[in-house]
Amino acid sequence: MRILIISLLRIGDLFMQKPLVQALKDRYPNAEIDLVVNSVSLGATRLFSDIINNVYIFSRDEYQRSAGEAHFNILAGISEIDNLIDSLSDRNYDVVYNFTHNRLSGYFAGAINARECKGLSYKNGQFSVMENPWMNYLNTCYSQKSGSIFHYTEVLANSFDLNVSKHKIRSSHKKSGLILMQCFTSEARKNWSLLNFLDLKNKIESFFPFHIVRILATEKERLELRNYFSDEYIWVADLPMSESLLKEARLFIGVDTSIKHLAALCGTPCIELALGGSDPIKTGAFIEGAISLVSEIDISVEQVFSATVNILSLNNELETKAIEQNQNLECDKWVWSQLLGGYKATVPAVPLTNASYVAKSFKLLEWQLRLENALLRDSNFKSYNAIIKEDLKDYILVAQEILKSNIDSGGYFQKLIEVLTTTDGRGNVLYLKLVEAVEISRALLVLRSEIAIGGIDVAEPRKALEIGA
Amino acid sequence: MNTEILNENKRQNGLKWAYSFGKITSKNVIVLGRYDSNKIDALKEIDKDFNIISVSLESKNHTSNSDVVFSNADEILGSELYKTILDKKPMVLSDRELWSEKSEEYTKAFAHLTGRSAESLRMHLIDLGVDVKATHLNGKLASIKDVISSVKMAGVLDLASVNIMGELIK
Repeated sequence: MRILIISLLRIGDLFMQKPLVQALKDRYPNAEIDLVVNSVSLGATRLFSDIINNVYIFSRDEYQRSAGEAHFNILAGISEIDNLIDSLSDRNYDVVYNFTHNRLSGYFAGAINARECKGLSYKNGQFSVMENPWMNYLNTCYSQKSGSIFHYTEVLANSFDLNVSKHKIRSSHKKSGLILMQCFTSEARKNWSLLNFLDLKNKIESFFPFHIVRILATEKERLELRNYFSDEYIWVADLPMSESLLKEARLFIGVDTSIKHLAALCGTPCIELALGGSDPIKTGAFIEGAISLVSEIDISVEQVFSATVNILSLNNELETKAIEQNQNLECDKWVWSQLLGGYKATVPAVPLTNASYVAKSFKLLEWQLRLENALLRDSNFKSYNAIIKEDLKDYILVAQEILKSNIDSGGYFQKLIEVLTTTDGRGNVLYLKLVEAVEISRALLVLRSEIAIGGIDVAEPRKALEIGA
Repeated sequence: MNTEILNENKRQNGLKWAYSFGKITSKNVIVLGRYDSNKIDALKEIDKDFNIISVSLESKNHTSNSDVVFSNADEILGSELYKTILDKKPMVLSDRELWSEKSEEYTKAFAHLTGRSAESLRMHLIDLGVDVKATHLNGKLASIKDVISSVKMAGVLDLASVNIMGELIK
């Protein structure tokens, strides 16, 4: 069997897709698997050398250059793209997997002669995409600023019906005394102050004298780092060298860049500083035990140091709040995965000590019942030509409470919020959309009620929902 | 000694000119302008595998060391060289210092050789399988946007490479 994978996004995305490539190799161990990537990602494909047969390069920069510079033949770039498509078509692939999911990749995937294409492709004048609930989730939730509780790797894998799990921390890391930091992103708002990094470095060295701290940097970054750190602390490293160093490291502390994904692939424990809109739930380091510190504005050195102590002291006892948050997230993910289908996970259980879970469950049910009661009352909406804001005040009130409380991190009422922000006020249309939204939240809450709390079935919420029906 | 310094200066000038184009990504290269061996040698020093064709515009009774000589720019379009251009899509490296008083004619030649004149663009598109009756550039050099719009105007929507290029230039 011969498989082609199209991955034309950035290096970080390629790293996040590695578990999918591994899953394909595990499913088809005798298959030849080829990969086509942007030229900038070529160095990153070394990490795939044990599972990939051939790497093809989509020379994006060169094609763009040939389009913009007059001394290139006007069709030079188009001709090179044709040559690449012909080379790939000659391979007679059984399946092309398009992990890139944008228009460019759709045109590219559709042009390659293969028996089957999975993912976005353009053929016979139109785009086609796999129709499944996970792909719809990828298209809807990932385009919004909030709402996804799944990591990009998980959603993509489930879209393609592939089983993935987080990278495991390699056992050898405990023998190492090396802590690596990485300080710069491509966006200033996502950077953490270099003074903070310096302060953190000093604290670590003082508290853990047998550990050394070093900073991975490019040559350009070194110039700025030298204003804060002496040369011995700065290691200028390209991708292969960074990989080697990360495989030796005890811990990686960094900002939102592809290096954190590389650290995860290397099995190195990670602390991620998610500033300026970075969303580690969606695109954080995909490794067990990763700690993400999130803030729109700033993260204190004490927070980062505390997380560092947690990992270096082999202290697996996270704060109670963090444990509860993890449990709540895993429950929400299980609920959604049951609705979307194909996610084979056992029903989670929540300990009795997780008070926030129980409180959240009852609040979600309360909102659900209020919405269902309102719908029963408002069935005559269907006959209205237009529904005004006053008619929707009960729904809007519930929505406002949901948004203000931040309780619905699992997105149970996401659809309701979307419906209420629509501009289509026609009675019959809006009513049906409200019904659909409330049905979705009901389905999710029924699934949630299957989760045992402290090993005991909670009959009350299910009963409350049955009465509501 | 003076000869050595002079030759080294010529070599350096040649290399400076060759490197001024950035990375030369095509193995097929046309050098457009009066023949200058220093520049040809510089290209070969960068990559001995370049296929270099020197092209100049000269009057008929003028001898030249160029590989191909035309008396005017429009002769290029019907020539054997043009078949090579359509087939290999070479980069055209212009030596404007050596265009001298024929600057306008060389500019026209440059546009033909790169497929950026109206007539040459049409020939390139026909070679791509797109039958375009005419191209309207109003005297300016064609850009990739003109290619894309010409292909669309011809009603061809399934040329993947053109669609891909359309996404790349957005």
